Amino acid sequence: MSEDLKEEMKKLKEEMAGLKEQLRDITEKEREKRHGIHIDVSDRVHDYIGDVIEGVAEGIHGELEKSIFIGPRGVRIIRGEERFRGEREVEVSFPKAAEAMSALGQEHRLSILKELMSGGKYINELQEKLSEITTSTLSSHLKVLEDVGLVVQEKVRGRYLITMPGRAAYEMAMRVARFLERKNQE
Amino acid sequence: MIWPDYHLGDTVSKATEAIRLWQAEKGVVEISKGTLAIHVKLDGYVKGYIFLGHGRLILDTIVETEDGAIGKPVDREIDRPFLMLGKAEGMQQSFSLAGQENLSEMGCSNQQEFVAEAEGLLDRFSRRGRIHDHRHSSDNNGLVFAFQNEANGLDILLADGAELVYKAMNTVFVSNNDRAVLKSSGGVVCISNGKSVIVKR
Repeated sequence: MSEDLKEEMKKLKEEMAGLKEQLRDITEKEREKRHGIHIDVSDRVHDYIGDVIEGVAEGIHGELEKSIFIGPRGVRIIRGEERFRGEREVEVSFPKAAEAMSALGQEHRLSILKELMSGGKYINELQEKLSEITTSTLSSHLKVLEDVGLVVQEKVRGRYLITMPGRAAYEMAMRVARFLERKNQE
Repeated sequence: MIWPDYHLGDTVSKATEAIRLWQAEKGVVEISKGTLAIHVKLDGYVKGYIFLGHGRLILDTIVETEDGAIGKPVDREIDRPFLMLGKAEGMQQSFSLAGQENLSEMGCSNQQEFVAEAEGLLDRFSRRGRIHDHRHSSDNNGLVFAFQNEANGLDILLADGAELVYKAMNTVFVSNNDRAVLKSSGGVVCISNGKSVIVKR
């Protein structure tokens, strides 16, 4: 092998090592994004201290996963697919679920939730946006949504706000609708 | 701190009209006509009242996050004596001397019965005051309320303009314009300039 070729191989090896390093950084950053908190324990560190740190990091991560979710504009700690894992483990009452689904199962109520997705609104603002619904019907729809906890009304200002379950329910309904529409088009 | 030497006035009055004691974007405290009141004095000056009658506390202990609103409003009828410190001067015109019939209407057989309850409340509040400094709030525009809860503890509301702190049995709510913290049995939520942190139990 000529000296030039050896030199070329050496450079390529160095470039490969650099690329590997970059790839590791990118992977690490992605992992941090998905997992939130991550304490770096290098593959090369297999000593006792490393093991202890890793154990502690996993413990902290596990605890955080159980208890913390940070809003979309804040720092996200829990992986998206695992966000509702805690809720899934809770035994769900079918009557309660049916009640919530029943409240959702009305076109006008979905329109109300859609309007509230962009922020709290007074009843007259909702009335303006949803002119096809009469005031009394709008009030009764809001009452249904409030009773099942999808909407909450401020007592002082009187604005209606969509709750966390309300937002989740609306998003779920939209996902199902989109899925069914795609199925129908196929 | 050394708790200031608050003491009660000598006479019991009644509200001659419904009075809104505090009103802000997120809450209201009001009393209805006929509610009994006794002065709370400091160095001879009226610094507040203890009320007994029909009071109402409304508080929107709700935090709006990007993922939806968390919390629910508080709407409590207050039928046990409660304390208010701060902003007492201008209110005296809304009260007149209470007679026996007014005391009876509020379930007191005589003035001493109300005074004894009011003293008990002031004493319990004063004991809390040794730990938490409330003095600044009664010296400026802020208000301090102490409501008795079902567990015979005190629910405290501190309010100064848009800033408010509410500490009740199962709820802590702190709000200042676009920043808020709500602690309830479900967990804790903090929001600041649209960014939220939710800690579930």
